[in-house]
Amino acid sequence: MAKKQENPMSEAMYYIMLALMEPLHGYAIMEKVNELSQGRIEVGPGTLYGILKRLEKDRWIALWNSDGRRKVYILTATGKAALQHEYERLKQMVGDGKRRVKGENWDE
Amino acid sequence: MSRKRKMKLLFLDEWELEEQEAWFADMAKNGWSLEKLTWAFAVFVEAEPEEIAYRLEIATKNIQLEEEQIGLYEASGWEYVTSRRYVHVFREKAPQKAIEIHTDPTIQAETIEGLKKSIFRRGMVVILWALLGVSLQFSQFTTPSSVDFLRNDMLPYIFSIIVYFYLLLYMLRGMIHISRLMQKLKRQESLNHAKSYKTKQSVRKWSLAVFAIIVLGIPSYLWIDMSSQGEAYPEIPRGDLPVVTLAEVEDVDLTEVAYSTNGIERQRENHFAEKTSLFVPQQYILKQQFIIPDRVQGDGDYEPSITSSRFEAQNESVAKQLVNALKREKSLDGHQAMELSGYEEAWGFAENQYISIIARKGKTVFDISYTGDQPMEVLIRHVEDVVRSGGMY
Repeated sequence: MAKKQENPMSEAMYYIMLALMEPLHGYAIMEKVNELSQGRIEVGPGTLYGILKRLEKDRWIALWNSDGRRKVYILTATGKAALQHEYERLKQMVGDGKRRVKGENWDE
Repeated sequence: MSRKRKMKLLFLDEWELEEQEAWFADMAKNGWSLEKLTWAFAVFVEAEPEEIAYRLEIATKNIQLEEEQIGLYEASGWEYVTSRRYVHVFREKAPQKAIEIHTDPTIQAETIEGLKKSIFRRGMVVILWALLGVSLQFSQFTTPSSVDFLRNDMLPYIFSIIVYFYLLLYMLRGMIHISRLMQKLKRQESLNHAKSYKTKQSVRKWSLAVFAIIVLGIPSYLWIDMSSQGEAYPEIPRGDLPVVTLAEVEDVDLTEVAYSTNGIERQRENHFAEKTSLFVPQQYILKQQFIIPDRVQGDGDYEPSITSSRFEAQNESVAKQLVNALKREKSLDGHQAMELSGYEEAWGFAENQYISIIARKGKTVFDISYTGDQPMEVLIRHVEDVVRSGGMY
């Protein structure tokens, strides 16, 4: 089994894993993260590289293919489970928040 | 057309990441673009002045960066410039166009972890080595011998302690610097890419210069000192000497005396040497031994001898320590304190036909070992005379 990630995962890591639900290479991940977060999140190449290496070590992502400089990654099954776990956690956080602020018009 | 190049000594250390980034950016602003780094130099090439950012990246796995990483940075608007061991330099391809390399300080802290470990490893080795070196040589400083003052035997120890100390300081500085950098990143603060570095650079410049002078100065002084040793047994000059002489003590004329030895043996027993060392710049050593024909001792010739020295130390405290060392070395029974007019301290020791006197006035030390019939009083009188008759001959 994969080592336990420190929880909660960072925002950047969450989006990178979201991006890697399809096979992507480094720079494409950066663009995808930007797109998925509607421009809110920009991951620097150094940060992306560091997170990729960590995820790869923990086997949450794997190499899809590589032609030397350009490596393409994809989420593994364990990675997917971890992402799902995080997704549930975030959903619950939002749900908890929603119940608490009901009637305060936060969604407007 | 070949462009002008400029080489600058690297005064900033490899772990001073922020400072180096700021320095390279400043150089670019002034029209000097970083071309490469060598072990001690940064080479800049003349270029259009531009406001361009530089970033340093540490290789975490090997000394080299992975091709994938370089490719990723290039796609994000950074070009690889050069490396200094495992510190790699990137530069924006176009001003303000690149995506900041590290957007998460925690991840950057992980890259610096390797550099920190390496600095601490080296630091511990240097600290252990320095502690060992200093403790091995400690006795040299707590109880110096007269030779330590009179010859330059202490200088190599001082030299190595300065080197140890400099290295120690250097590594400690690195350890503190990298730890602070790590703490900052772990607090989620980004690095300051425009950190001031000029004071650091000029302080380094000066301390390096001082260090270089010491490190090169001591060995060359020792070398000059060694190669300028005169002959071993110079002849005793005629006329007044700045020391107490055997002829004075015995009250004879040198023309009336005879020698029991010849050649090198006689030179060894009769010579007057002038020496010098860093601590005791002027040293006069007279050795005399002769037969006085009209005096007899028991059933043989009367052949008194003297070793009579005068030392002008660098300062009074060296002179005091020299007196202590001489006292310690010359007799186990210990010298008795005496009052000698004109002197600040005097010590005497007499046994059978042997008399020793050590006397100090300010930074001048007299050291006399005499074997013969004359009593202590006679020697004291001459020691008092020699300081009264003034200083230099």
